[in-house]
Amino acid sequence: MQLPVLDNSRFGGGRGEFQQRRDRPEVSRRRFLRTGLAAGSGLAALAAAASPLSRLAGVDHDVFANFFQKHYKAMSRAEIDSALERIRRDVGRRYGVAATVQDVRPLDGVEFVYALNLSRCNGNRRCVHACVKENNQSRSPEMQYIRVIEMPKGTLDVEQGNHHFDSEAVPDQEHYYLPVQCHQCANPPCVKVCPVEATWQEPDGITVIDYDWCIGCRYCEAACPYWARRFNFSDPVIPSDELNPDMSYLSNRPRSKGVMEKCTFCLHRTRQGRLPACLEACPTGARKFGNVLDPDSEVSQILRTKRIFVLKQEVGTLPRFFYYFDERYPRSGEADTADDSHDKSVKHGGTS
Amino acid sequence: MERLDERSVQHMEQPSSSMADVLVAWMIIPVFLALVGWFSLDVDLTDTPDAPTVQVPASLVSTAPLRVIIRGAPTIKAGGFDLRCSECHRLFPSRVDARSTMAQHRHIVLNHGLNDRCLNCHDQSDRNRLRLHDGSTVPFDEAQDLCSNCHGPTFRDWERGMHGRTNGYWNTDLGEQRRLTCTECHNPHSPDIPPMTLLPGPNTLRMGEQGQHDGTGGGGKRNPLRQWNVGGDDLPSREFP
Repeated sequence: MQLPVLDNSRFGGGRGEFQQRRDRPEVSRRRFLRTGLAAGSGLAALAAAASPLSRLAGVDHDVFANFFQKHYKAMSRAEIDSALERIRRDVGRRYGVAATVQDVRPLDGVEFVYALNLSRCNGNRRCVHACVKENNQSRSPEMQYIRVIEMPKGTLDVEQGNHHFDSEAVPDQEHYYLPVQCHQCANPPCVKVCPVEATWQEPDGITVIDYDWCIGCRYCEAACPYWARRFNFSDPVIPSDELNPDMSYLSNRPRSKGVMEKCTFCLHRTRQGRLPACLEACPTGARKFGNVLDPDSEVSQILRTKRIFVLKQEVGTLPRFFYYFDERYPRSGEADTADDSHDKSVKHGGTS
Repeated sequence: MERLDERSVQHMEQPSSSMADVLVAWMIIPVFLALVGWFSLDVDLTDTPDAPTVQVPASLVSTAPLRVIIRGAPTIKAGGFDLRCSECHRLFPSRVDARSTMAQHRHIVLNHGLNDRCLNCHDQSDRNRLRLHDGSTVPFDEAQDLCSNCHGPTFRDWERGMHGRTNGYWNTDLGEQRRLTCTECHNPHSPDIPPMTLLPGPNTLRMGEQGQHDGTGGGGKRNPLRQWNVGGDDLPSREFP
């Protein structure tokens, strides 16, 4: 049996026809039309397929420079500076905003740790939306790094949690609230699975992504046990007047379709000494952030003196995001299940 | 698979194949033309479920303290004059066991547990100041010294930055850090943080179905997909009364 493609007779290449053609070199009308039309439409298809190139060529040369841009860690100082300049131009073109784009490097002797007081968090989601604004996350389709999970009291099983909770006011008495964002693990599974090393852990503990190097395979999203990584399924949409012009290469510069992004502990703020946006927006003061290598920092004292836990400790990711509780007496209106011997007025007057 | 190929090949190898050849060749043209249409119209077959943009006004994620505290001594409007507390209380000394049910201060709701006497915190002889347990007095804007008289563990935590709200810089070498004091978050007369309004929930792709609730509490009344408008009816103008 011969494969149809190799069967010469099907394509008029058989010996008989070949012989005939040599005898009669003039082209038949049918053959001419057929070949002409096919070639013509083929050329038109090629031209149409290549037409985006003509659009690009007219704009500027950044397209080619971006294409040949190296990995963040392989770029020299000058190459990074020109990359930042290209980002600045791109932001100006896309949003009409004059942005300051920086490449903020880790501070010496600093390892960032986040601590979150579950006794204080009341699930109001201020952090979520402060983060969206600070980090230039897409408004449509919506992108949020922080997920606040409403958990039934008495369990740490996140399967019982609900992040779509909605009520007139928070908190309610049956639930506590567990905000989850990137835990900046010391043993990050997302970094291990990246096939192109587009994501890595920085010396200060922050796991970052080179958005220009990411190929969008989403392995890291699957590897993360906290579901802290987000994928740009389509081009992010941010209103120009809501764009945060204070940008950095590794954190909140605008992303494009097909790349991953995640919480970076606001590294453009925190590496310059400021507190993260989610922390500053938290009205209850449940969020704490600082340098764990400094024994007097807030987080160091929390880790030393409070009852802390990490989420999904059993998976061995060694998160730098700790949850803690205050020791306290029940508040007014709350049932005191631990001790019923106190009289009611004492219970309500409990100090915390 | 193999058998199917064989059959199709047999079909093509039939004597009438010259006619089929012509048809196949002509079919290239519509395929190319379709490609022309595809590339020039930039047809997008995928449907991304983009939700309407949720607008959360910047005022709702402000970093401002919940309460504006009294600097120095408080004043009260009486008869068109701004009077200091002591200017009335010099004339009208209060009873030591006075509670909040007074004609003058009806707007104060005292809900501070066992601590239900005005003069536990306010100094009887100098109403412009607060009185500590040891008898000394502090101005109103240094209330943490007074709160620490009862709330020792919380004060200890606050001093170390483990309780309360911090704004500004974590690294005090690089910038100013502002640690909010007790009364910038807590109303001293009713110290529980009041329930807060909730900002819209996630509508992020792959976050599961919208309006999904566990059925245990409160859910389902509001649709997180809905547009939030600045100054609309849905948002209270003041959220921390």
